[in-house]
Amino acid sequence: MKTRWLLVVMGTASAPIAAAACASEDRNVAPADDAAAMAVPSADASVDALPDVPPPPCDDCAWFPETCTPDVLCQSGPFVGGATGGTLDSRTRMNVVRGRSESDVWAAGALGAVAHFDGTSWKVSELGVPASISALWLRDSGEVAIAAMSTLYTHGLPGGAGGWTSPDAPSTPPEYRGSNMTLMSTFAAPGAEWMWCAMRSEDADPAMRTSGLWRLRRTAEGAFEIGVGIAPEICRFTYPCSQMTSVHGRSAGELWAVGSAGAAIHLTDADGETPVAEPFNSQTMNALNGVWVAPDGEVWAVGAQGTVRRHRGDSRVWDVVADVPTTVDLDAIWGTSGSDIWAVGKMGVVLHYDGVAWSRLAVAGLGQRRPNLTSVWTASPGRVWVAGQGVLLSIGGNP
Amino acid sequence: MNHKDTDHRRGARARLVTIVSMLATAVAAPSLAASCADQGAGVFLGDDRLDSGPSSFTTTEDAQVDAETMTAYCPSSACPAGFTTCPDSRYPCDVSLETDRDNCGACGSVCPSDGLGNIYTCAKGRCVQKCEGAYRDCDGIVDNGCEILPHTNEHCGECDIACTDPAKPCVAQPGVKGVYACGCPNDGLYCPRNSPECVNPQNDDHNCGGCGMACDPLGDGLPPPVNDTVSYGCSKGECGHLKCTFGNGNCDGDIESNGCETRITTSPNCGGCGIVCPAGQDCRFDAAHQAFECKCPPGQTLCGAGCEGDVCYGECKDFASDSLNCGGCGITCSGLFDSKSIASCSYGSCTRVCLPGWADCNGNTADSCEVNTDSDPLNCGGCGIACDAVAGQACVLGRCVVEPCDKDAGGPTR
Repeated sequence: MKTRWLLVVMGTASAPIAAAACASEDRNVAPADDAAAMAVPSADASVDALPDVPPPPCDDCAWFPETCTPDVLCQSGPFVGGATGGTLDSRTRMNVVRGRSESDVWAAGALGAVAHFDGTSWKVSELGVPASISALWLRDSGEVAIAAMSTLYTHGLPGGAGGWTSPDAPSTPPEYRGSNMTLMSTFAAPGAEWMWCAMRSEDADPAMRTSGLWRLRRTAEGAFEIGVGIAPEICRFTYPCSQMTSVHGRSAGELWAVGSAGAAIHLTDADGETPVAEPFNSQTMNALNGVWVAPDGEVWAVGAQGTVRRHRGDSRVWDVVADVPTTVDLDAIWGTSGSDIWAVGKMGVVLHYDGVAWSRLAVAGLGQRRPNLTSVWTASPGRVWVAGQGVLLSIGGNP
Repeated sequence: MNHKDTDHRRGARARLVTIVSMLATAVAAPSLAASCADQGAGVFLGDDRLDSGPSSFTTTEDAQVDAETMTAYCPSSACPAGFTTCPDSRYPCDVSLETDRDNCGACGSVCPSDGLGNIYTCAKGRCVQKCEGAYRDCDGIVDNGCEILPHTNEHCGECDIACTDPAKPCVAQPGVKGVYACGCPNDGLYCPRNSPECVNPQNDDHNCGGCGMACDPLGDGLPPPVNDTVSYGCSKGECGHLKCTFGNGNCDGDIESNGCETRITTSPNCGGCGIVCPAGQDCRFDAAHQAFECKCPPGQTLCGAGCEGDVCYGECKDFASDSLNCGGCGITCSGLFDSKSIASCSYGSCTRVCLPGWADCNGNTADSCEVNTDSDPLNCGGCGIACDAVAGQACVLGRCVVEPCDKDAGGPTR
């Protein structure tokens, strides 16, 4: 008999079909019933809200309903057609959303996209140049939009003109070489002199890489200055801190930073003259893309392939968090307490932790789009904003 | 793996997918229904993620079936035709004897190293030479590769195109990089000691009417220029004609009494008299065009800006698509380039995409797209998609290999 071969389409064809047909089984990943009490919609509630229609032609349609309801995430602000505060092109990748309060939130992204929420509505803020903004520094008075460490735009700073202006490039220490480094994210604790910058040293040769942790401050004279976070030689030869992605902390003096290959670095004296780095074991070699420190000191990190890690107490080893309902790359994390934490990632994945378990939330009104989500910030339980590829999301589409 | 290898793999993948696609599609639907009805107890298509255990492959009702003949298929560790496992293989069946230049036709049969101007690929199990760039194999002898760079009088532009007229030798054509032809175009003069070698003797101040005939900018006995905005130069093949010096224009038509009285470096007269820059644009000297131009047009942003006196310069960049200026001057996506991925600038943001057959499963940019999804049984066709490890199931071209469960119905061949 003639020999025949069949190379079976395993994941790319059969698995998605299977998942779509069995979509109702995904309700098993729903969170505990007390989620609603926190004003955060439960995952199963959002799925149940779906109309009773024939199975849609995609494996994840349950997480992407057409209609915005009060218990799912929906487009808001400048990506809503006809928004009175101005609109942004749907091709715009928003890189960061941060705020001081739920009535003072900023979002920024590619090609000069900046928008501000004043508690009532979002309004596009004209940067004046098509520079792609990677990070925001919300100071006590005024804002700094950061395209690269040497390319800043300021708004509302004392002594500045109205609108956005471009100050002189920051002064740099001898160790700093701006080329071949990519700014990933920044963080400045309230009252801190220095803003910390997580950067990725792009040299293919590890021996040529520099530090992935630098700092930026504004001097009394109003000029900006780049400072060493952790010395390049330490990151090159001693600790894995040359390719960092995220920094966060409860206070100006103590921070956590994460990065490639599971790097988890504890920073002390972070606002002092000579910060100290101490590496911890995150129990993963996957990239960690986001870190957030809860008010009680518990540290959470998210990364590639749905990786979630948690650090508690004085342990040198982070805990592995299992039962995370996704395998996509998670890119950002933020929360208000240990029982209200958000994580977002590729393919429109939004997760919420209620203190017991992680669950997934639906995102409405995206049609066939599955945008990568890049940043999340929350002011209080239920008041969360998510930024990403052509999206700025909030629960129920509230501004 | 280089791009050529990838192209071969892509081609091979297309052929195999064509063979099985109808079967796979037909098989998926009925199997799927059975799976859901049994709440995951059923097994279909050998998908381990939904499989209750390796032994289930042995049951006829759970095994995948050929929709045409109802033949059941089971996981296989054997290699399909054209694929094999070599001594240095990392994964089972990860060598394509048809396209792998290190194992071309047989394990260890390595195609010759690339030479000057030639590269070797493996096609249908045989090493094939291909000339690279402008190099040509003009003598037809494989052993000496692509031996000719056709920039000679014997081979000008292509093999066997000879330049026989000594006045029109093989010369690089001005304005078109890398193109060679016999003689200079447009009545140009070939001046071998000049750079470029083709000049216009009608107005070239250094080759006026003939090679090496330079004009005296002071006129060589003529009345001295009225000021430094003018000098003597070449026109109509003769020296002694007044010309404007760099940055100056003769806008009033009176060059003899007041020289070139207008600066053409500014927005009202940018590169010429009366050329006004639109609002929002400034007059800048363009090094590539060697001329003053209004910069920047809509959609572009000035980078590298600076001024020396009233001469300003800078280059216009499209922040939305320029991978060397992606979202800002000097912000480059090049750090994301490597042999397994490509990077590009998409609407002001750098994006990296793994080449076909590769995936970045750990998210670390340092190791790029580290997983071979064409061959890795633990990541077959994508991150975390595992073939049946117990059965030693191989992964070929991103698919887990199966064979008829009933060997009498046709077993694997190598």
